[in-house]
Amino acid sequence: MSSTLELLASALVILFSWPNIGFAIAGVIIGLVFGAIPGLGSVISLSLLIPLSFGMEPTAAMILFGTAMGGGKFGGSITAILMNTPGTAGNVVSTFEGYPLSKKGRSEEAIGISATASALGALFGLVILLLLIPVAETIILAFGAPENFWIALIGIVAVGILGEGDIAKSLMIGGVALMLSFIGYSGVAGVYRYGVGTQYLWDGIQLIPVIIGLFAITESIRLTREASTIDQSDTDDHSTVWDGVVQVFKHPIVFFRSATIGTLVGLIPGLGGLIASFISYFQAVQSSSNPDAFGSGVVEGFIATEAANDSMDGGALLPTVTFGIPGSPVMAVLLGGFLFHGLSPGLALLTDDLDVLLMLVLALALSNVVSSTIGLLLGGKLANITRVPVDSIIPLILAVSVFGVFALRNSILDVFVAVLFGLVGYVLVAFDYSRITLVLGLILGPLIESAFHQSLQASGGSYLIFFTRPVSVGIIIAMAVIIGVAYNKMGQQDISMDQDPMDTEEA
Amino acid sequence: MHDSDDNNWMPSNRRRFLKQVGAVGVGATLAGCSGGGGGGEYPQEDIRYIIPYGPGGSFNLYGQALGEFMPNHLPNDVDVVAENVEGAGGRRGANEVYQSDPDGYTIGTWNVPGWIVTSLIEDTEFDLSKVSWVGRYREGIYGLVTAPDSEYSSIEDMQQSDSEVRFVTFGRSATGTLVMVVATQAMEIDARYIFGSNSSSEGFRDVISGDADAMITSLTAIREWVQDDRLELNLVFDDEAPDWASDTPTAADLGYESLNQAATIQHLVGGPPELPDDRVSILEQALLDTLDSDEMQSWAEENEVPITPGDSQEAADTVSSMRETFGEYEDVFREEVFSE
Amino acid sequence: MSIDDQPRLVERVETVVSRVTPRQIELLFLTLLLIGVVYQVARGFGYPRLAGHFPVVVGVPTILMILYVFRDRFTVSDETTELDSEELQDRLLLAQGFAWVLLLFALVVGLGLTVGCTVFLVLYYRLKREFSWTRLAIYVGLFLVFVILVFQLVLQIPLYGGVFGIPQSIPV
Repeated sequence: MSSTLELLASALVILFSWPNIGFAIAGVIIGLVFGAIPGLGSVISLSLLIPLSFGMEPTAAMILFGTAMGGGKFGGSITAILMNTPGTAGNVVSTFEGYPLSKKGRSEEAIGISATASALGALFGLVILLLLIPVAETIILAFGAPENFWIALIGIVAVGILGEGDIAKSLMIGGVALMLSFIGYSGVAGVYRYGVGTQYLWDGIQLIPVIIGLFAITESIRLTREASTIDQSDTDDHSTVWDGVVQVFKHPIVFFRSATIGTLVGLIPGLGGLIASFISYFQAVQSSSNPDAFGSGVVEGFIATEAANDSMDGGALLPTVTFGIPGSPVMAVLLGGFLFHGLSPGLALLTDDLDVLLMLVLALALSNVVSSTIGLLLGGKLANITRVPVDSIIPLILAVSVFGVFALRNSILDVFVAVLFGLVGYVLVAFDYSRITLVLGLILGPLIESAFHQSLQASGGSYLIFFTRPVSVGIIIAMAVIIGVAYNKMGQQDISMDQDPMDTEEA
Repeated sequence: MHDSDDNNWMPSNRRRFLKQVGAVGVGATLAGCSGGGGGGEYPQEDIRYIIPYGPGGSFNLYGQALGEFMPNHLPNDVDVVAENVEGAGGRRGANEVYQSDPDGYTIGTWNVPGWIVTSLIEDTEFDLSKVSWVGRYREGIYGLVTAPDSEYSSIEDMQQSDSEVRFVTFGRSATGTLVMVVATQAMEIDARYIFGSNSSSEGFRDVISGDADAMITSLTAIREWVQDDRLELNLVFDDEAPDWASDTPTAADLGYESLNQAATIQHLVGGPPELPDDRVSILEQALLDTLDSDEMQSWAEENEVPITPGDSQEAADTVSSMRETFGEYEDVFREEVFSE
Repeated sequence: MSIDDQPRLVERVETVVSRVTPRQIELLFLTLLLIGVVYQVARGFGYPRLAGHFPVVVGVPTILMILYVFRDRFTVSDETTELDSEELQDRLLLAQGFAWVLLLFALVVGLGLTVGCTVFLVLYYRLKREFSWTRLAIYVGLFLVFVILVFQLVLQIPLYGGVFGIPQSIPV
């Protein structure tokens, strides 16, 4: 361990030397900008940076990648808070409490909370990562197809339970989302399903166009109908970013629990920031003494989402670096970055190339701190966006979203999907159907199906495989406990968790 | 569809074009007057190099490198612009190349025998026998791995086993899957296939944890794991074992030489059908020169990836012999992988 | 020029908007979902190798849920009162919102990405917000600089040219 510390120390020195620090700053800025633009995000910024890093030293490249990732997370939070438009998938849940805070005139405070919770969350996740590296292999080996099946199932069950009072509608949309996720080529079955004669649907309904549609475009339509500015508070006395910083320290339990959840979710390949922040948010609601308030700008809920979203990266790095199994979509691209620079995940990365890995970790940590600092300093200025008449912003959001979605795969059909879901999203909001359930179903559908089929193939058709493995059994028990507790609580308190805070405004 | 090309008025194009107009009289031999082509030297504009996959894979790695180094070995001052066109498992990019104008300004990577599988199972929009082959930059060799503590320490063990040997593999249409089926059938191993792994790494995880017994995939993916002693290499589909695992039995050793031809993955470079021969030659020469160059060689060393050059004839021959071999196994493949 | 300059169109839109009830829209939505899922389940039966397994296992309960929600909503009585002018205005604004989004898409498909979005911005800011030409130029100018920088130069995306293949990139 002490040699790890030595390596960390020397990595720190290298990081702060020129030109590395230059790369770091460039990375943060690129990350922030890409994170903020709807449709872009770290997946795209990294995809772009990888070929650009051709010829760079691996350590320098890691600095560039790490800082872009850190900046990306925070950039996405900013637009989520200020304009209810998540910049990336992981920031969708940030809108639940972040935006209502903006409407109350507390946008600066929200930025402060986000900056602090994100930076600390990321650091937390990275520390856990470093601690877990020695046992990484054991953990990854313990999670096979049956375990992944149960985990994905928990996700879906959680979605069903969170039926916003209207369980039927929630289950229905969840089911529809799963059906949508089955569109496309299934490798495990070798069948192209529901292609209706085109090639476009081969890779299925893409997540980002759907999210941009449901949250950016729908939001633009909603704003057409709304008040003149986002900030609807009457007072001139707005809370500052520093108030936000303090808030995080006032709720240490929420923070630590959320960061832990985020890291754990990150460990499991395929889930990602959206699920991490969602589960964390759910936890915050469940354990709160005033669950009905959620959706109106509750600080604990917001801390929960921000902390989990960023701590997830630390967890997601673990399967990525030990096994080359990406813990999230961003990690998949980062993996490409590793390979591009001749670094292979596995023992070498953890022993001979440990210095490079630590550099990445440090860069991630640093970028989170740096982008958070930028956020704190610029928070006031940025928050002014919420005081600009909404009409001036809408068309810009729409136009940039269109560019962003197109940029994904150079496909105008993706833009069509985004527009379609933009219109549908409005219908969903107006009639009280949960958009987040739709998104979750899209993500979890392929996971659960493929895990199911692989398990059955491995067992030769026997369903016992789902019930006879220790880790699976552990997950099932945990699941039962969580459901039981949640259900109990719901019965007692007649919770109707406000998933979509905007819903309460619709006729 | 030529949308993207038409819309990219890259200024460098225009400047270069104007330069070339002036230079048209010089070096007319390269231009060639057979059939299409018209007057003027080739190439006069930037050449698009289509990578049918996304960033972050070996195809992209090589594609970007070719884009970087090839311009130095082409006549005239043109760029080679690597472009990722992903989607539909590589089909979108393949179509992009196949349907482009045969003017030598669009070429791309072709993954064989990946496409052979697909064309066996379903109709594809492109016909591999009509692609204008430029050459090859890499030939990947496959190997079979098991866990170090597995009950199977050799192929013979598997052949003699009473129970099914569980092979984990990728999707049903993947090249690795095809190789696995052909190999296990030829070697008469009673195998159970587990489809659906998203990467070699995931498969290795299953092998090590005991959820599967073996996996057949490329040596490039296998190498580090074997060197770290996390996996054991039991068979190499090549004439010789690699130097980092020199005592591994080869398919030839066990009497299955014919498998060597089938069990490879070829990264080929090709253009649309009916590309004029002269332009193909220019591209072929440029490709070979690039692969041979110091900069490409040292790039390959740095990234620890192999380069196996091949000219356009070799590429074409490989494709047709693979089509023949897999044609023989088509029925078995359909039955094992694509029946109910 | 403003939207109200075309009275007949506005009248027609007003009639439609005031007649359509939210309930009808929701029921339509549910019907479309139902058709989609039924289709998927039906096709699912024909897929080999368990590919239809999950679609059927998930689809059938989903159909039931859709029907349940449908019946639930169907039995809610709808009050067909006259809309007061405020509500009517509200709905018109909403219809307008939808229209703007569709317009954007149509413009992008017809004129291409950059040109289409620019035209959209010009139309929006002039018609809806009545910006002065100066202010418009600033907003649109900043937008163009931003997208050209990020998407054309940095990301080097081949910008979509619309069905007519109009060049989008600015030679820089």
